[in-house]
Amino acid sequence: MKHQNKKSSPSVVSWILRIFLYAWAAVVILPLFWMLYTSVKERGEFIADRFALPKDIWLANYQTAWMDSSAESSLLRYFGNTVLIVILSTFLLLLFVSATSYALGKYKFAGMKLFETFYFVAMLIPSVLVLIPLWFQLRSLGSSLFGSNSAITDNIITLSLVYAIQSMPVYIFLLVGFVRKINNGFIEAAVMDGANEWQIYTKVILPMIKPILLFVALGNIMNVWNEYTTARTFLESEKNYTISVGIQSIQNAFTYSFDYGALFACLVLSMIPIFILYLLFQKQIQNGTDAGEGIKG
Amino acid sequence: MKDTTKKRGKRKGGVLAMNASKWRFLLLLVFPAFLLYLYLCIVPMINSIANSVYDWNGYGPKTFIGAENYIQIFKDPTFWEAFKNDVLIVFFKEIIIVVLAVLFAVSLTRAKIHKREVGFFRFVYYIPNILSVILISMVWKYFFESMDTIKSGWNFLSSENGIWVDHPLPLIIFIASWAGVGYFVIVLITTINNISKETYEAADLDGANQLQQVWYVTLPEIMPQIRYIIINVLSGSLAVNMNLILPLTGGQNHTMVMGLYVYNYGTGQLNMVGYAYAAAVVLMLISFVLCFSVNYYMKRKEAE
Repeated sequence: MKHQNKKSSPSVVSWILRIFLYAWAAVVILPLFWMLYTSVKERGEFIADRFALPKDIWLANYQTAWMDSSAESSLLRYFGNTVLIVILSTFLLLLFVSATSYALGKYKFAGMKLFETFYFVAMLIPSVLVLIPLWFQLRSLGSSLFGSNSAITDNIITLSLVYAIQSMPVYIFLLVGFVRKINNGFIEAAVMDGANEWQIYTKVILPMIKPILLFVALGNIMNVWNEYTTARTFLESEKNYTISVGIQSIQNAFTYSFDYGALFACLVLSMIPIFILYLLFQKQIQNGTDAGEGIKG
Repeated sequence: MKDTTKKRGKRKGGVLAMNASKWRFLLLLVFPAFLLYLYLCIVPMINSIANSVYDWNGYGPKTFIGAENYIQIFKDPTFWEAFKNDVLIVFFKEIIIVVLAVLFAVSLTRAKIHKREVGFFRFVYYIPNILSVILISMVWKYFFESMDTIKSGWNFLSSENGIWVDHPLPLIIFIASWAGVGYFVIVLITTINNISKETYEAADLDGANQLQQVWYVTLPEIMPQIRYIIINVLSGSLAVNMNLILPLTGGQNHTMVMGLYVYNYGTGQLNMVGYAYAAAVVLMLISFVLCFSVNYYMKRKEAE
């Protein structure tokens, strides 16, 4: 019995499994493919048949998506805001986590262990306990400093800072391990050459943890580009909207006029930057998934 | 500065010992980040716990009411409805994600599948993980709503009051699983590839066929990762279910979940911020208890 199995089963089983694999690939791709071709489908065609392939490529939807709004609320504006937040938060995050990890990993000082434990425990703080009180806290700070409730919360610089600071613990935990593995000989050599602390950090530590910093940057770019709940809570005026909040806010206008093509054109445009990043860095992003497994597990 | 450089060699700890230059580095870069972390994460968290025993609208004066908020939460049927929905969503999401992720990861590593195909699947399966929750929820929302407009026989969604009122839970579970499987497939593939060949060879010598090898070698080896998946989905979902549901249903009461319950009381026109904080604390406690007990139970099972 056993031996029979051994001879006949592998190829048959492999084919059955292959069918499952392709079926799931289809489930993943189909709705996205539907979004893609609906985004180039003329409005009347969509109303007639929502799932039929478009007869012509109707690019006017993209024009509508891109142009059909006031200067305050154009998709271009949302893109600009999001890019700014991504750049600022990634820069701050990289600076903070690399410096902190260097200190935690390489300084011989009793307080450092305590510091590390603090960030480790902080990883467990659930976001649900933080968002709303933070919002009230920053609103009352805004009203006492600038006389306006939304002065601080409705601001893309604040949002960038919040993103950078709140995602610190996980990345610090990941980086400290790598910093520890750096041979102290490199630091000693730099000190011999008369390097100061800043030079050790920029010339010795940073180059050595560059691959992990790339992963941190990629992870943060994707998180921030796609983030919705915090941005929706903080940003009140349309001129500050990020791409997620912006699309959510213009969706009603498009669905009311049955302009699903234009709405989907917005969605397609919104995913292009991240999709390009995924094409370029698929390996690093997926390896980051494995690294993430290490930290969170 | 010069002084400290001279002393450094003699001190215990060599170049890693603290000196003025290192303190300056700490003061300029490490402490500011730490203080900001305290201000933007720890202070709000403490605030929410501390204010959960007050009747407070977020701005005006506070009235201490003890455990009254908590008692009201436990008396509120809407909260229990939210709790029930969360549990249902998480339970089915766990089953679907674990079964599919294990099935796909094992197939991609142990079945006879061409390397190029594996590359294709790795690429496609991970795609939902790079998409925003807004994109995912909108595409599926309009996809299902469009399906619902089809009046022919194969419209399995048919509903009288709209699909999001009649049967929101199965759809939400499906969408959440669709978005979650790929990430865990990648996690599992790496673990399975790290299992040494000798382990399989030993099983092979014992006369185990492919399926038995998967059952007796692969599955036990990936149990810690499966536990990681279960805990990850569990800890992520309870608070995060709302991120998907908010854009899908517009946040109406028919698909209330605990995260949304907190959010609606905290930011809505209800002026019950103290109450929202109490609900957040309850949500956190439920989440912690579930995570720790599942983790404890599974670890014990693994040890057996």
